[in-house]
Amino acid sequence: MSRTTALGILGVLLGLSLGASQSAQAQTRGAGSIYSRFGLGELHTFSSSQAQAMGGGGARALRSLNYTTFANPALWSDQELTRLNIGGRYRRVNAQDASGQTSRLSSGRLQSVQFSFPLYAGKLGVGVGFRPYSRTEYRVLAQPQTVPGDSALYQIDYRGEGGLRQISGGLGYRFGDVLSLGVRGDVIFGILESQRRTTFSNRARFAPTVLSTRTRLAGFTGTAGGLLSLSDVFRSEDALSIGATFTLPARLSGERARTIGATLDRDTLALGSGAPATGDEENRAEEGGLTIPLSAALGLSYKPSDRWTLIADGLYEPWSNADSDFESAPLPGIDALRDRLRFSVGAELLPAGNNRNATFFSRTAYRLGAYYEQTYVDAQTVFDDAPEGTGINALAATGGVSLPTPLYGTRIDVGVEVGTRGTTDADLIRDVFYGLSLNVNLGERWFQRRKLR
Amino acid sequence: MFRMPSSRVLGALFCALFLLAPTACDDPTSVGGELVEREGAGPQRVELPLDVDTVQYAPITGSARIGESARFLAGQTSGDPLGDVTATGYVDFAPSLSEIDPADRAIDSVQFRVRLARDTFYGDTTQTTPLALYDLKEEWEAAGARADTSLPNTVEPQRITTFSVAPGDSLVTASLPSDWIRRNDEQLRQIADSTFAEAFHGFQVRPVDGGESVAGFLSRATTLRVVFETGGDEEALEASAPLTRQLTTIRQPDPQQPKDRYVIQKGTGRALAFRFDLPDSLRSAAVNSATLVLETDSVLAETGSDYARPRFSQLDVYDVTDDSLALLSGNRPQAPAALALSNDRTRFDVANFSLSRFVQDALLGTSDIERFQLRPGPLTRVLRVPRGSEGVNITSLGSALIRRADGHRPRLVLFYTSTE
Repeated sequence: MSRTTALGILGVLLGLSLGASQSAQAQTRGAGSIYSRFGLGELHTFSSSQAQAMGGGGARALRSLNYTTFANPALWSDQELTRLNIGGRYRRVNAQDASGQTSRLSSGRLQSVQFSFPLYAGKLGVGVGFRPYSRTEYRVLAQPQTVPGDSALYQIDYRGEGGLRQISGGLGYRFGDVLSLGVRGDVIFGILESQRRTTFSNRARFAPTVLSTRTRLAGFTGTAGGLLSLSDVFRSEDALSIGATFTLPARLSGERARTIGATLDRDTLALGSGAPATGDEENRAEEGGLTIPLSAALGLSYKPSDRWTLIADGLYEPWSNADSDFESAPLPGIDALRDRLRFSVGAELLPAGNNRNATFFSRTAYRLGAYYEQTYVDAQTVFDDAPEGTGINALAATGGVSLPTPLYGTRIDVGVEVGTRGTTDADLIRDVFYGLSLNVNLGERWFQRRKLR
Repeated sequence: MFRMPSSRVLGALFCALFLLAPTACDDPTSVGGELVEREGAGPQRVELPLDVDTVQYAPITGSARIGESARFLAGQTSGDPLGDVTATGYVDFAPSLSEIDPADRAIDSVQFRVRLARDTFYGDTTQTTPLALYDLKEEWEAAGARADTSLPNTVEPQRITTFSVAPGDSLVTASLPSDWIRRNDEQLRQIADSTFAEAFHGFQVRPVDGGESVAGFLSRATTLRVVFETGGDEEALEASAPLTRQLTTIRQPDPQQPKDRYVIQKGTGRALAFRFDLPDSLRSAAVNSATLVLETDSVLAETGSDYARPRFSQLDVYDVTDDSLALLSGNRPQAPAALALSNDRTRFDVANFSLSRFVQDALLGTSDIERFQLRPGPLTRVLRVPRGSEGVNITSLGSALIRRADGHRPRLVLFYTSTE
């Protein structure tokens, strides 16, 4: 495949990413966890479809010739093939409160588009990708109530939509057999929108209200990653990798605006109680921003043979330091977040190992994993007067299969996820979620001159 | 042996799954409501008094087109608690449509024939309405003329005749005297000729002192009837000239405001103007419903049951800015905004226009409407006037009494949702 074709695909990839980011709803349908209302929404950790099925963590030390893992740019130095990954995800959330009442919500969306290629095979690689950073996708439909002073009924529908996305690009370079280093730049951008829709049983008399609060944010951060690759550590031909990444704190700047209206022709309201309505243009949107904290992660990967891969990862993000200067209409809970911790483990079995002539099932990879996450939301994030000690934590199991295709280097990955988040204590909600993902990983040799035989 | 399905089939299968899955079996409930709901998130109701002023305008009462609904008034009241009114009618005639040739026949009689419009009779119903006819000596303009029009040099000082109208009358005939017939013999003989309209300029119908009521007449049924003498065995010959233009001038030199009432009245042009007096606390509210409420009252202690006071059932709504006044648009094209009486006829509160939208604009500060004006309706047609568009009503003295005592004041009933 020619260099021109590759650049064309890269252009399409970036265009698709930017186009999708223009609308808060472009990539998503449905709704999910109520906890995505707080802070910047539910944070995502997708780095590759392989890692997703092995605990869903970053897999910062997971070396693979079939995947480009975006968690650690040092891993990009391993690339032999040019890769394109496109994936989608469906998730269902069953939420339950202390009274036993349940809510069933689901959403599906494009998850990621990633493109990577080696500049020098096995030495220097480049990665560019588009993936979610956070999602806001909740929905609560309140019980119908009687309009004060009237016989009509009204119902309020609370919705959250949108999220932040990141476009990443960087390089990974291998120094000898042991050490790899990489750097990655991430542009984080997007729109978080919360809506309160009030509808009425008597539509002729009462006009519905859609109150929206939109926060448009954008910022830049950078990640540095390192990877130590050791072999023959515990046994002959085994491989141990240790990866670490450090992501800089970032300032996300933007504006926050409040509108009323059900159509595109919305009225923009002034922010802040007691402010004049809309007479002053400057009052219509509040300029501001927030600081997202650093992120530090450590990962281990061990391959006792070419059939097994075991990984473990840990992540720390001090969100208690997150700071927002949107004062008139702050993001819900942004000033009461706690530190985020995430631990994951996973295993992959590839029965055929490196044998390309084995049967289909032998060449299929089977993956299992689990993770525990202390999310950055706790009871005090949700309720100002909540007692300390009740946090929103998630525990989930992951799994999946990677199906080989007749095309060398191309695989189709199907992943599943089952987990629980939160608690019904302290007036909170417990989510039980089920996820299904589909990723297509295309791999081919590009940019390499054929040698005359 | 297992055969690997093609990647296309797998791809199509999963794409279909992803497209359909989000729409399947979603069941949002109130679970999580405690995490998002606030006190006061639902709609709230508030009644806001309107900042009301009384205004007076000169309604359009002249017309050069005589339609079914056209009326003209004549008469006067005395001791009216709303203020005494003097109404003077001006009428002019078109040539008769009958082709007649009176030849040398003499004119036997000439009658001014009017038919009472009972829905416009105003005042004391126990007495007749004495009226007098005067000649108009020159051309006068009726199209678009208003109730405050003066025609000072148009009326001949000599009274032609008088006649009376009682509330129960239907057809009323005023026979014109023979000396008037003699003076106008030449013109009357040409009653079916176009030269009649050029030579004859019509009558003024003026109240006679002592009258206690104002009568309204159906313009379409008003005629000038000329009867020629029969000669020998010839059949009677007559011709009737219909109205071609009309005007009613109305004077109310001392309008009165009954206690605890606002007066809205046709003819005299008494109307109400108001602006929304919206508190700052609602500046960012989203309006769900807005209703104007103007309570009405038909009872006036100063007048008894014999006093006829026609009512109307609709108020037309105008928006007023610094340099314009125009009928507000209703929800439907060609139907200007109006506020109709409720079914029990106790208040004007049924709007055919999006009041919520205007209140919302006022709350947001995006409205350029200074204030609204409520005038008597309904409209018979809309005229474009220099400052905007203005409606034309059936000419009458119909009125509405709007209550203004505490607890009954004109108000805006607002259902809103707080956006805070």
